[in-house]
Amino acid sequence: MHAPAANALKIDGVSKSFNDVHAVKSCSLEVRQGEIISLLGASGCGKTTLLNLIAGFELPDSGTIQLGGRDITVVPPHQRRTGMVFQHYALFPHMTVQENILYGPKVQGASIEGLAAEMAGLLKIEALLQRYPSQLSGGQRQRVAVARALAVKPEILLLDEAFSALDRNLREEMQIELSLLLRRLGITTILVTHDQREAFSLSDRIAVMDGGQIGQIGSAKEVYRQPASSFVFGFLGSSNRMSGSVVARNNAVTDLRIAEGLILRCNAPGRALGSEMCVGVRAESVQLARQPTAVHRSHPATVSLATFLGQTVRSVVQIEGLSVVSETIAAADIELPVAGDLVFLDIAETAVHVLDNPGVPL
Amino acid sequence: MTQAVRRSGPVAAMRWDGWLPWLWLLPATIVLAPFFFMPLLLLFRNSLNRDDAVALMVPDFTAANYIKALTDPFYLELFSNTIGAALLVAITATVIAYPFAFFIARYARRSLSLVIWAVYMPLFVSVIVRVFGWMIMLADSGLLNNLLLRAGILATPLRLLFEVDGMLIGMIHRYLPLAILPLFNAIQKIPDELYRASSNLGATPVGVIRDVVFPLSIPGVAIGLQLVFAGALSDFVLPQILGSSRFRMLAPAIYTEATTNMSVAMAAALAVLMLVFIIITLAAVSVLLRRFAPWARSV
Repeated sequence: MHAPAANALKIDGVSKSFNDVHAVKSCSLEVRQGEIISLLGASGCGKTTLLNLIAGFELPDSGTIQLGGRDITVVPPHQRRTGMVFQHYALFPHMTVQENILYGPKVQGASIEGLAAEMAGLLKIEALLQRYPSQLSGGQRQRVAVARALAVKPEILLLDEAFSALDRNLREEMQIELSLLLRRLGITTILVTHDQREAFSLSDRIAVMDGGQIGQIGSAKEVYRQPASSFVFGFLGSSNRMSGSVVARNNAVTDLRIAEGLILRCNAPGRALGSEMCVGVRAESVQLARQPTAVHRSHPATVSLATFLGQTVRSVVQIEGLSVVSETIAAADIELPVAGDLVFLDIAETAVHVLDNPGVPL
Repeated sequence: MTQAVRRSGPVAAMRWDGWLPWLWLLPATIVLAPFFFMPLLLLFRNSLNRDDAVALMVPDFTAANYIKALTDPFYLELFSNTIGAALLVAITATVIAYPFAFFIARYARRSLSLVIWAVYMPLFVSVIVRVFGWMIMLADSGLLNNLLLRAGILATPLRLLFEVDGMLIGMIHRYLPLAILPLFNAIQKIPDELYRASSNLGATPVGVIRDVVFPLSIPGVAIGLQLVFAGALSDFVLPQILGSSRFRMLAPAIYTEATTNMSVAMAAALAVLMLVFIIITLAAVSVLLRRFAPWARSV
């Protein structure tokens, strides 16, 4: 029906305000057939509003939404053919699992022959079909909610914080299972989440949202390693912000004095000597050494707190009143940092992100 | 840890744990036992006595009053009148209450407390006062007839006051809050997500109400029906003041039996039968609810 490269969903310049609050500001997004995209952002960033606009629970003030080539901007929700999995699953308490799954196809007048068994098989809930939602565990409810959404054969699956109500272990298990299932079925999916781990582990591309706008869209690696803005950098992972003055410049590289003995080199051309710059470094890029390093030649820093997290150790290091967070691998044969240690920081040039680059919207 | 401590703790403490919570029932028991359960038992005992024209109530142990009440056409008409009117009032009040409750539960945002207060308001006003209000409205030369006559809708006034019609109107008004409040409560508890889920799955707005809102509000419907039915069945004031002497209702009849006819035992038997009717109806609704809404117990 569609050309292979066709967009399953095309959002063009969509805006939505509630009273004076601009929940979504001219967002544009194209989702390819079979792609899984996460809308990632803090609460209030507009990601849920954008999802509600796609489902039709809200109507945009401006812009258009196309689903499978059809303009659905003002189509009422029941005619949109989207399948939504709600944050609290929204199972109908007065219907059994089977009735919940078959509800959509029934009201749409579609065939339900063998459908309950098929959906139950996909989500491994065959034994639960005759139960009521109140008799199910959280994980089972989520499976039923996904089965119910898939039963209407939606053109796009919408997951609204669908894992947030689950315990951590169960959540990761469900994420893996659902990721495999959605890829196997090749169903286009939009996932709304505030959890970076969830977005990274499930999706092909991630749209990082802030203040009603999509700040950056790309693969997990792209948004993590090449953040397009200082917000995207700060939102993903745990990061340090440092500022310093330019002490040397050479073609494309600039040396920045952060503290006595600590001079970071970064890829930022065209800075005047002595000017102030702000850079960011992720915690895992800050290595701790016992000996002076290329960037930290003298005046060692002091470890003020070292927390063992299993795979890593998170240390807070004090250097001239600046707190720097470092996350290092905690292998069994490595001597781990402890509070009071004197250490030297080692930060690679490629790990230094320039955060304020006037003129160039990074 | 706590388990072990509790088991090895003093035996006296365990006994306290067992019956201490029941102490909360003590104040209610002190009031209810002498002033409700005792009179009820006395009433039942009286119903087994015999009425005598001269000696008034004669101690006896007979079911004669019950047999008479359940076979004599005079009393049977009384029961059918009363149960019929109570059913009609309960169903009509629920039908009127439903859209209103749905509206306030779903759409009244800022006005919610005002509207709820308006629903409660009549309950703060003595029923006698409200009855006189209805008399002014329903009389042959009252407000309603006046309006209808002037508008040319009627040629002769409708006879409402001192008729079954006026009594039913008054009863529906009196018990409407008891139908609205449980319905409002039930509809308000339905989360927004369920409306959205239903429409997301393809249900039209009417379908959402039919498939989700109505079934989930059934426990509220049942409670409202029970409250209104029990109230209307045992109502004394409205049949007595607004009603007709040609359409006899149970509560005024019991009063007449006990005072005018001096048949205290017969009056007691009728009162016990009224209580039994109410208990049977309440039980029947509960059984139906369990049968047709098995999910409701665990919601």
